Amino acid sequence: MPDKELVLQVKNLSKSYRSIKAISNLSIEVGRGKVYGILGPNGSGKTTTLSILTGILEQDSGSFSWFGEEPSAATRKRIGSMIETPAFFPYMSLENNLRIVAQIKECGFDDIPEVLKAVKLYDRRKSRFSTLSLGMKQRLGIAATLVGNPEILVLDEPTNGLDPEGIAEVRELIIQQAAAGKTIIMASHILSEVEKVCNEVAILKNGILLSQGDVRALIKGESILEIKAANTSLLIEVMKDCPFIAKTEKENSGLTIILKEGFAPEDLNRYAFEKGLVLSEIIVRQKSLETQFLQLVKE
Amino acid sequence: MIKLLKIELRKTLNYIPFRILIILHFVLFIFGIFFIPRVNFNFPFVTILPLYQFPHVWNFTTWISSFYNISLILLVIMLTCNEFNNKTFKQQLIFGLSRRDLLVQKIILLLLLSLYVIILVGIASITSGLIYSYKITFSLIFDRSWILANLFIQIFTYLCFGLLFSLIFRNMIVSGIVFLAYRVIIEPIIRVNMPESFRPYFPSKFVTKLTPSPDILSMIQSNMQSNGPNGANKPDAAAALFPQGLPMWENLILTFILITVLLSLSMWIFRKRAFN
Repeated sequence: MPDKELVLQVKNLSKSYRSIKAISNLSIEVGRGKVYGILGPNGSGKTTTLSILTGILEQDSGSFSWFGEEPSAATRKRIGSMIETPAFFPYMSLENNLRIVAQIKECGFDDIPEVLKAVKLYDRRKSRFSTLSLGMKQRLGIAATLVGNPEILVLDEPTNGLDPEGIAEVRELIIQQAAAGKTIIMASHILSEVEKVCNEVAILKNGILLSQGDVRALIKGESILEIKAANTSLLIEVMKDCPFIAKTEKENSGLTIILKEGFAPEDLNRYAFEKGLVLSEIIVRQKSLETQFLQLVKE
Repeated sequence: MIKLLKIELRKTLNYIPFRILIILHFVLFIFGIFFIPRVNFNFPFVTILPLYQFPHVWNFTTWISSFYNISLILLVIMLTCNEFNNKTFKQQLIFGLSRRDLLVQKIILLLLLSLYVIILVGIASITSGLIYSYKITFSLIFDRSWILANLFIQIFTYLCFGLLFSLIFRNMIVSGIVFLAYRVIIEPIIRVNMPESFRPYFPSKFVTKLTPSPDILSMIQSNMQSNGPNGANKPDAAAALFPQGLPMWENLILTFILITVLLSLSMWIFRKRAFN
């Protein structure tokens, strides 16, 4: 099943800076084609995690694999990464800087103009990197990740330093790349960004994984219903065939349900009644990323 | 390897201070060889012409070139520390180079600079020799050209020092000062306080000895002998003033050991260092 194909597998990764634990026992899995968000406040270990995954830092313990292989320079070539503020040779033109990227990735210079156009820097291709504004530098960083058309993009705070228009553009670019089939792993502390772009998310705080899963289940502002009935097994039976349920999860004595778009709790209640089931309890929870996030981070 | 060479060339040749310094090095070297000695050497009975003739010209040009080594070492320090400042070492790792690749890139740079110097010295020596020598034979021309190979090793060693210092300190000014302090103050002081027999075993001694300086005194003496009757009293004055040190093969072996140590330490730093 293509859904199950993992491009990244992280097992019990830990890293400390002297006495400070940057990440501890982090385990995550990213499937092919996913847009995976790593969400957390500043200092939660996002950049440390991505730095280890891209080979800049060594972990203290734990392991990870890309494409099921041991990480190496060769696997890094299949990944387009941008960690923190992108660094380029300040005295060289954008074009020349991207040529170095292409030479490292051994992929030829053909897609450089296209990549520069994608981030709207084509007109500045002859300018020196040092003459760029912060937002432009960030965009060139994203352009560099696209050189050689890698299978995976690793982006650390990709909209950092951009103005609202730039943020929207970068977001659009990420969505386009995802639509083209790329796997994207993105760190961010901006809730709305993850909510709009990602379909899976891991939430970090102080280097500890608080929660991980489907963004729709975990985060999206959709109605989450908790329902109960006297006969739990009947409840499960009936709800299994319900056409307007997006996701069901068993919880204690009841079910947690996410409705498909356009359906309301009344519809569910009516459906249950028609099938001969009387719901004893319906609790509607409006869960947004914000509440979920704050709730998790407070714990 | 070719890939790393291409990347290093693109990085280096596009760096304007590099171009300026290399041009400056070139101009000053030519100036140093062909103009400065003519100004200073105006003594009676003494001619510096033999310095420009085969085979002495090889010693002379390599000796002159050694005064300019420091500028190339500082250039290496500058280029390496820039990569730390601009965080481009880290960025190249992210793009897919290995830590070993980063070191190999820099070694390529050192080899290219050493190659540049021996080409420059080679051309200068042959040109000058052909112009000024009275007698030109094939063996006379190439008799001492082995010195170019030694020069290559010597410059490469010094540049390795520069590389290691910049990897340790990451800062252009600190690395430069520490290097100069080591070369000019620290090592000489330690050396002077050592028994005579240990002195040839210091890096700047055995590396410097790879390219013997022109035997100016004995050349002058032989000149005086032929020009005047009173010059022939002290035939081994030169040998007394410039002790021979170790045999050449020992210098070479010590230098190769030194290069291995310098590069191993550099590799160790590249492997251990967190590039964040």
